[in-house]
Amino acid sequence: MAEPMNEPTTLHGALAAAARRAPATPVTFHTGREQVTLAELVAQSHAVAGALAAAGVRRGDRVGVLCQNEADFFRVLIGLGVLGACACPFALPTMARDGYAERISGIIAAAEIRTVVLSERLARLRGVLGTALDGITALSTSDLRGEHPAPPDSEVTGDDDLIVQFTSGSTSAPKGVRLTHANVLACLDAIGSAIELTGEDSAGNWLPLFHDMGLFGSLAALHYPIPLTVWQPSVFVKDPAHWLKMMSDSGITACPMPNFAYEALARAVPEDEVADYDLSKWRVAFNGAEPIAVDTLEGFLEHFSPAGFRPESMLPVYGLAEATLPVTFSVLKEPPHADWVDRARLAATGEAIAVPRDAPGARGIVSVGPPVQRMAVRVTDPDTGVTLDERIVGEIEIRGASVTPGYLHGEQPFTEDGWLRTGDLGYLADGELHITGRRKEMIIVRGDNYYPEDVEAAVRTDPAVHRRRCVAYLDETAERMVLVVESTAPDTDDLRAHLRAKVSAATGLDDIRVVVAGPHAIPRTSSGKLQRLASRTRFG
Amino acid sequence: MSDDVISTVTGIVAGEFGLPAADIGPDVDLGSLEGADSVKVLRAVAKIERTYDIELEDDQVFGLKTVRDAATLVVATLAEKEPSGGGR
Repeated sequence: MAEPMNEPTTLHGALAAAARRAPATPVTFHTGREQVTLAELVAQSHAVAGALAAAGVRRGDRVGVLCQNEADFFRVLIGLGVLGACACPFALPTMARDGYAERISGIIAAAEIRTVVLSERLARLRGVLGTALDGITALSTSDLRGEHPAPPDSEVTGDDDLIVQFTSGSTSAPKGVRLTHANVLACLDAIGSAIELTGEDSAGNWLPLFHDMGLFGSLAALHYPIPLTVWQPSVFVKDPAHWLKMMSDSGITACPMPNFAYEALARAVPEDEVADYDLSKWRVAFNGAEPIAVDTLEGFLEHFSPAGFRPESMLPVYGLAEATLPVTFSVLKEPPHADWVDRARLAATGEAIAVPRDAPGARGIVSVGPPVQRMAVRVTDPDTGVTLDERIVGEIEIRGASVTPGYLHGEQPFTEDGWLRTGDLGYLADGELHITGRRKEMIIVRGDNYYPEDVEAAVRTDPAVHRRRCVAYLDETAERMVLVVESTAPDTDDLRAHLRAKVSAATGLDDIRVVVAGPHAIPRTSSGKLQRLASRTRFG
Repeated sequence: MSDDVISTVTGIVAGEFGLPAADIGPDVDLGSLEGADSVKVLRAVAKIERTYDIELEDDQVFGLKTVRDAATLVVATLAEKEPSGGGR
């Protein structure tokens, strides 16, 4: 169908336009050694839309997607967009773990999903899913092949939901972040423009496509378009040095990774082999999705300098699912830089007082740069909502074209004047954002998110816990979860070990501090709710 | 099943997780081990692959929960390899 001459307002419209500009752009998937052109991928996606329509999917439906980093992920996502339906990408497990099936069940219920598309490569996953798909129409991607007439124009607009991201939120109350076609296009435009993409670029990605940085990093390449190469996450994690070789041999110029991956690369390639790599073409090394450690960042730059990696290629960024992805990007073509501040003052008063790097007690905070286009950032006092001056730590709030219209259910994250509260803490200095603390009530360990609600749920009904009274929260200084339980039993090593084991079995999180307190020790609000913030003050 | 495979896999998991091998019984839920995360699991899988010169697909790893599960998969994968003469 001919796209009108004005700007496309939908993802499929924009990708069709990209495919007309450069139809032969290669899209390569390491899984299955599949290579298609962008024009083929777009045409196949429309055929998948026809098959999904034939299977009963309609505009406004939300459909679960369980795919690896493979071409079908895009075909299904784009196909759903064509129909005006909405994709809910599900995270894939690494290994069998208690709680996975429950999490999927929770998302299916929260999003009122009636249809799930399961990759034909993942037939074994059905065993791990248990009863989660009972009562659901489960389509295999192999059911979506073949000739299907493209569906009639569904009159989808930019305001239709395209994706609901379930990467945040606890198992008990999964948060579905709604993203419209307009949000996604704003995100892709912002990424392309911030890194000054040209037709000479080539993108690579091994981050999972169910993760925002993996998905929108990849879509930004298709949208421009530039060649895109996609690997499975396991290809990187199992052998980072081999991946780096493939990546550099492919001439990739832009690739996103979290902090731990830069550390893994520096460890994987011995010093005397660094010069065998040519990283001089790597123009944009996005560094996001995790707190950025100064020593990891500097270690990577120094280690890979003999391979021709340029410091200005390293691009610390800040983003979140609620912003589709990008909020701030550090300044292109400039080396990353850290702001050195007095650690004690920062913790005690929230003032970011600049000190020399070698001053005792100096803490380095990597700048993640100014807001991307069509995005605004402010820092406010979390209690009063007053906008704070530069160099004062507060809650980061954002407003912009790629910001979600809201969660599917539950409490909405907006202030009265329409800004989205990120829950992250930081300060501005010279217009550049610096993140000092992660979301107050969540901890990230190597890319996995852990929530206090889930930690509490793991022990609440334990006989040792008095009247189910317990509270978990994040100790930001130690970057560790703390669990406080009320108990009439004496505080012993055995009791603490028992509670720790229960949390670990239920959530996979083991590194927690357990505090056993007497009945009524946990502070409550007037409504009787246990209060995490107050507990943090009392128990540290 | 060969006890050798179980003890080799236990050693690999212990190394990647930084835990004493004695703490990792063949039927312990690996997800519940101290410091368990997806990166360590995949690194252990990579080491198992190198040790036995086999390749394990991601979706085979999805189903693993314990050292015994992993050892069973290793033995089955080695058995599949053998009819073709073994090795590469």
